[in-house]
Amino acid sequence: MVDHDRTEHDLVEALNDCLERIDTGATIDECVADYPAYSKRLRDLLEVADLVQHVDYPPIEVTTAQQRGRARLDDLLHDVRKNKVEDSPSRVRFGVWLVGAASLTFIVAMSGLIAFMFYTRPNAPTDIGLTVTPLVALNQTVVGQLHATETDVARNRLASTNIPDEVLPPAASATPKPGADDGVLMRPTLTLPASATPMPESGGGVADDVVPTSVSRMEAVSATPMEAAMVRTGGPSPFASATPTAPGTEPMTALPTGSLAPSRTPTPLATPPAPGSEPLTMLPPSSMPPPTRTPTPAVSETTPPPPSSTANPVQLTQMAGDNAANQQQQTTETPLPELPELLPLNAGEIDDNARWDTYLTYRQNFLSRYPSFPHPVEVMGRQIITVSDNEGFPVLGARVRIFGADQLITETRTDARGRALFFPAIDDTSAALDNFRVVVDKDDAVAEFTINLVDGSTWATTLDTAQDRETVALDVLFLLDSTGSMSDEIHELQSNIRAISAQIDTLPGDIDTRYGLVTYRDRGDDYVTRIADFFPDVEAFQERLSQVRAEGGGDDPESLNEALHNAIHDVSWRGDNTVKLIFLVADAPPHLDYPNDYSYADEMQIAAERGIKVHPIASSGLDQVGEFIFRQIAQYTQGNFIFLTYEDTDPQTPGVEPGVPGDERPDLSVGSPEQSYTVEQLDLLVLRLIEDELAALRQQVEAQGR
Amino acid sequence: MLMILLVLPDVSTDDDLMRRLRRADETAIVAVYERYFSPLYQYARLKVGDSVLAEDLISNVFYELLRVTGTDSAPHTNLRGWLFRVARNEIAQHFGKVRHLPLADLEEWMPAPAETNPETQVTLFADTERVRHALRMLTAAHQEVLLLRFGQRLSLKETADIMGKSVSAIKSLQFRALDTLRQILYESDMEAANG
Repeated sequence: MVDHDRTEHDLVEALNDCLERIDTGATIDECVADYPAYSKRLRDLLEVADLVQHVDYPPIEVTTAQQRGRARLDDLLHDVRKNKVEDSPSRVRFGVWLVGAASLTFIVAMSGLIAFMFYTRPNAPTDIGLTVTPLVALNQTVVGQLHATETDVARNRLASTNIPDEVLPPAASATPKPGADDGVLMRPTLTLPASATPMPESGGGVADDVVPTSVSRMEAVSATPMEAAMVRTGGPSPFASATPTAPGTEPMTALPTGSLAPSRTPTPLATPPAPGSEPLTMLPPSSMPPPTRTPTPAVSETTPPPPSSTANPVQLTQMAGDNAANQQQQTTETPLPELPELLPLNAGEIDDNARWDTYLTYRQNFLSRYPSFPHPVEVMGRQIITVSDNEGFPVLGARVRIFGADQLITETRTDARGRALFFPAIDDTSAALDNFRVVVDKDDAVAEFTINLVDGSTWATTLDTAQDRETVALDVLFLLDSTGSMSDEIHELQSNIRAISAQIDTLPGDIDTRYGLVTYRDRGDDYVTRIADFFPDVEAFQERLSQVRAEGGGDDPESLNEALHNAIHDVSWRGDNTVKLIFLVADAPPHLDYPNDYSYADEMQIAAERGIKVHPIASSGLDQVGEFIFRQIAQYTQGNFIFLTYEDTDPQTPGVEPGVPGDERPDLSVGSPEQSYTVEQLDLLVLRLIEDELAALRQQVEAQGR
Repeated sequence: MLMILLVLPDVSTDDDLMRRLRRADETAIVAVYERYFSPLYQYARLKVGDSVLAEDLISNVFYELLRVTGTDSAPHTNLRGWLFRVARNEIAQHFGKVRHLPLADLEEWMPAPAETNPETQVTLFADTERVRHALRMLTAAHQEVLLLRFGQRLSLKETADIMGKSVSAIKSLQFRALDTLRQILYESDMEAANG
């Protein structure tokens, strides 16, 4: 353990402690007195912090800018209001008309139907003064009035929500309504309860100016940003507009209290993903997202759908009645239901080889955006070669050599699924060829065949070899960015490596596991890379891992190129019967500007040659260039790209916002929404990837699929 | 009859404001503007160094707020965090993701230090404008963490949320940033002292 590492760690904690105490009134002298070993340096840092707290610009400047900005804002609000006033009346009027007409039609139709059924029932009396429509009575708060000449008993029955089995003859005491015709069905008068807001008159009354009203009124107006500020005299229409609107601008509809007022159309992110790239599926989302975020979850199942122009008239009447009934409630201050938070995006996982076309599109978009990117590594025309044994099980570690025009083009090794990848366009020589000779060998078994690019891209061959699937050698190397921003990830691994190891021990078969470690920072830091060769004993590895401290690293890129080289060349990987995994955990891309540096593009090809699979696990803060590089490495070595984010949007966690306008979101594709992991579960993520690899050995190639 | 109209400040909490924003209450937008313009402007002004640009960038923040008002994208957990993140994004969009100013530029524009007792290092740093310039010499991440933590007095958690990093990463970052700023100020001071 280097003392300097501990020194900086202690200083970080001491500084934070002092800052917290100073916030509560302690002086610098009081704080540094508790840290005599660091007092001078600590004092300097605290005094610099104090300086930063007093660099505000003069109030006069701020006030002037604020006033100017306020004027702009007022103008903008005025314009928004003005536009909405001009647009809304015709739309609302049309909506009112349409729904009203539909309601009336329904009422008349149902009344006729009921009357027909009533009059044609067996033993129907020939003379009846009933003029009520029982179905209308179902919604008494809307209809409200019945014109009937029935008996009191019948009237009581009809006053209930049940349709009476029979209607009694009218009581002698019943008073016919003026104008009612005996035996003729009368259209009931549509009367709103006194508490309801009257509908606006046709052609009338939109106020010229916005009149902010109570919160409840705002819910029933449209969903566009300022439309809710529009209030027409006499109250809002409870009915949705029937005019088709542009996507994303659907007006809010008046829903019963307790429902979510705005339509749940996801609002597009400020930075939409590149065409062809998969949107960031919201996992359990940065983010925020970066990467991002999934659409908000659907409204509660208890929320009825909003009325529409094609809705069942029954629904319209029912909802109209509910709305009217709820007006009373809405005029008082009713707490809005909590809008559900966007689902948090904690981790995403991508197997770019499994989503090949998507990856190619993403790659093309990136290179279009960054045409001078130094390591494009052409992967078009990918060929997949699968090697199985006589029983159909994958052959691990088979050497696959590709010859073109009698020259060795490339060499690679199969993974636990028996797969190896070949990229014909990777250099000029092979890019000009269509035919390649493939030689596969392991131990004494050899197989040979020819690839013709015209005929396809997936090839399978069999090796006459016997594999021991019961005893598996597993080499796991952690390649850790140990700069200051990585402390959480390092801590997680330190805390959980024993548990990971214990879980691996429970997997089927006899698994002989070794753990290695390469940590890296940057040129100019205390060290660039540190190598800890494989430990056969997890306890020894744990001890070594516990000495790692996250420090240093001033700028964003780090010395990943050199570290990757060390991880591949300078540790003692075992032979071909070994599952070889590197878990790269980092939040920054490699330096691409250093002279005399290794190249990750070369190193990843060597890793593939040696059958080493790299799983980059990108922590929050990785930029798009870093993401592209990590995905290149993963794709080329048949690993998965995983990213983690700290953008916790759990509603239980206060003080965290999901994605905001302008947030950069990597255009990632998440392989499976169920495979979501948080940084607290980094250990489980590592374990799962190892499990998947080992499980592949025991699964026949055909069963694994492509 | 003389009527005196008293205009009282909007004392709604941030939670109230966010609720009102979700309901597209335009008075909430104005209230947010009055409450947060100043800290946002100070933040942007320190970052970009130009008052007009800072004003424009912060206007964009409130335009974005107006745009999302009444929609699902309106802030509903942390209003201040939301605003600062948008401000950060606006500035980043304007300048690009990373700004690196080599320390060699220091001489060219670093104002001369005030005349003070050369034995007291920190006193030599006490020129506000020098500190502002020195802040702009930092990397984007270092500058960011200092402006948020100490300029705007945001908590570790809020700063972590805005910057998309963990709390422990922010602790480490603030340490490194302060240390680097200290070095910049000290070196410029030494250069000035040595003529």
